[in-house]
Amino acid sequence: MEQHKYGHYILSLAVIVAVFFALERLPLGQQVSLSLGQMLVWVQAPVRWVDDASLWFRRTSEIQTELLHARQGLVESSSLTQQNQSLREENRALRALLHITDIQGYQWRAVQVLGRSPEKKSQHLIVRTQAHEDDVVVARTGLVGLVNQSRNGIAVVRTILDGSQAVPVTLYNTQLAALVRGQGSELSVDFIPLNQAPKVGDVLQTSGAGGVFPPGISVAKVTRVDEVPGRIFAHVEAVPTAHWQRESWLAIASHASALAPPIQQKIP
Amino acid sequence: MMYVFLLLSMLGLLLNLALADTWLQPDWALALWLGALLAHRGYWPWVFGGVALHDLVFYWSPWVCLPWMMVMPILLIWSDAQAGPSLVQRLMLMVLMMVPLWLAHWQIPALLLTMLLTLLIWYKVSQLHAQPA
Repeated sequence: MEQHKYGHYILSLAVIVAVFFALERLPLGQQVSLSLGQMLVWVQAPVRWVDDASLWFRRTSEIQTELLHARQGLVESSSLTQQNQSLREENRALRALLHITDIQGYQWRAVQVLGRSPEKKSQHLIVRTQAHEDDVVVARTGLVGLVNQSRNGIAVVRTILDGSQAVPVTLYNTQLAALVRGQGSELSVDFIPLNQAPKVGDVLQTSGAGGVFPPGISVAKVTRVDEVPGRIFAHVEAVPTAHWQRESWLAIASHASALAPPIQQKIP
Repeated sequence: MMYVFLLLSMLGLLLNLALADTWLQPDWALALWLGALLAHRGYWPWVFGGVALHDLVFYWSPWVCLPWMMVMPILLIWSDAQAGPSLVQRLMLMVLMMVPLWLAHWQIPALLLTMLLTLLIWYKVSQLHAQPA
């Protein structure tokens, strides 16, 4: 009798596992997240009211401390912006030399963050916008990730911490070409030859290779560089420069080709 | 009662998603299903469904907490057969169930809150099942 019970349980488990293996090929999780998007707005509303009301009862010193932190963040982001601007200038000069006029080809707009997965550093975000798959999401201080799916004005974003993301990067003013990959709570930088290894604290930027990410966006700050005996590539760890855990607004860059109406070409 | 659990777990998922940046929170849904399973292992089909939904919403894959949860009823039956039904092995299994959350980079205070909530729900559901002598 007991054996029969176990058999029943194990058979059910096998069926459940088989069903989930079959379903895993479908983007089921993303679809569920998209469906929850509108409900997140309703859940957040009362908390936002309480948060706003609580400002009246907070101490001035606390608010001043927060202001100082915000100013510090602003200084950091402005230095990154300056670096980006200089890279953009250089890109513009190079494009002029090469007569390439539409290398950027992106349209930017702001989007509101509705929700985020609850790990220490969120790997997925839910934003309120109509977007296309592979649209680039950016925070004030750097790259956040890519739009994975979109429906009814809600989009789900896979951040660069997600293991499935790989971002081609470079180091400003060098020939370095490497790949940043998500590791859950940090990033690994692959294919960096030992003789070109960056220093701790260096900021890696999108190289534009592959055409998915616009060039010149800060991606990661190097936190560790190790030489691995017997290997030609260095072991490099990094953290994202963007802090999307607290940002309520982000920017999305859509490929201009995705937004433009289809052009009908006449075949001669 | 399980329909109420399902609704509460959905609310928990929404709270986790919507307010991840605002407050430190337990994993509401996981605590709910774990507490229910520890109190009465006959709930396992509901628990598996609920945890699968939890994994799909948070991680877009059913293979984060669900495999661990699937082993729980077997471990409960096995440990009860070995040492007799007691709280100790259930508490150990509850701690074991925090491992996938830790591996998924949840904050330690959030894990502690999840365990506290699990204890509370386990106690409440056990009370519902307790028969008067």
